[in-house]
Amino acid sequence: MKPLNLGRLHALVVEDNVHMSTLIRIVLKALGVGRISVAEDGADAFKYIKSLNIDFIITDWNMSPLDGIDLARLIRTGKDSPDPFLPIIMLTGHTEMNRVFEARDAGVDEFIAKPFSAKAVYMRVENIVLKRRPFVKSMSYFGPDRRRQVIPGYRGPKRRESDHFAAAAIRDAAQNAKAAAAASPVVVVDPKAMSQTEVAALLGHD
Amino acid sequence: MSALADSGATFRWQQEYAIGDAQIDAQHEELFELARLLEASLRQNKSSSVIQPALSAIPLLVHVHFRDEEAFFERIGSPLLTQHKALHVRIAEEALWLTNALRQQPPAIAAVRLLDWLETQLLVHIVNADRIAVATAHRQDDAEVSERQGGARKGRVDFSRDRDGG
Repeated sequence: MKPLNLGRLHALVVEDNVHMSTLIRIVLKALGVGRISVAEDGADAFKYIKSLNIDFIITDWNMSPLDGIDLARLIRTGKDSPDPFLPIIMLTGHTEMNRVFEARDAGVDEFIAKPFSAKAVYMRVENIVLKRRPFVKSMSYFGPDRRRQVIPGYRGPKRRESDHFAAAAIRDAAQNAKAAAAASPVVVVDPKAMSQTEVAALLGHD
Repeated sequence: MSALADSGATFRWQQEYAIGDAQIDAQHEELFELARLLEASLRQNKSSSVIQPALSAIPLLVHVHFRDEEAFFERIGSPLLTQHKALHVRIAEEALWLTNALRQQPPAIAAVRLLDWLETQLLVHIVNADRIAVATAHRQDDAEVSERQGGARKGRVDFSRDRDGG
């Protein structure tokens, strides 16, 4: 498989540390992301999301006044959210399990631990472009499917609306978004791009 | 860190470094920005948070930039394209080797060595060799015009400046 051409994507980097936001921006640009905007906190980011056509965000966790988790919740479930399906990549030094669960429960798609590597960024972007998990809605959650694995013979509680009744509107919305993403011309294979082996060699270790 | 880097303003991009192509100049400016960022992180004792991302990014940045720059030199018909490609191969190999070697070093040491390499190899290359490669293309254009007008001129370039880091 050839690497993706991300030239038509618009990324939003949400980070209050100027060193870190510069690094992420430079890495995204080198990976071929066409447009990159930078916001200094969650509140600024939400304004950007409302006014620009952002395709995905990479956000830090600790920011003030609105942190990365608040921003994720606002995007997923806020009444005035312009795009509840917006892919969210969380970049953070908090790698304790409870923190990872907190981010996951806020509707974060992917997680990158600091100090990040260019390879980790590439792989997470690839995941949201090619292998994005379907969205689910339960009484207490809306976001990417938190079950990354299918456990045969699962007997635990089933909390999703779709587990109990035909939530046609929700399913349709999720399916429409998925179909739109699949049909989108945004991601194409670039014939001039490097081979996968070349990319792997340049990106080095995770 | 070198004496140049101590000055604080060493890594500030200047318009006189521009070679006249928006994409390539933007990439050059980003490489300066990366060096400035590393320098600032060292001064603020924060190199531990930026050195690993920087090390992981540099081989990719260098590869992408050299690819785009070679395409640009080809477009403008730089007579030094072959020599310039050879310089790129050497710098890219060094970048890969150095960044791998520095991963195991303490952050501050890795940052100082990386900054030194950026300054003495990559940024010097941008300021000298890249501009020479463009200038010779322009001189060649002028020479062709002059030749047509009956007064051909010849341009000579000494690449040893680049190899010597000067």
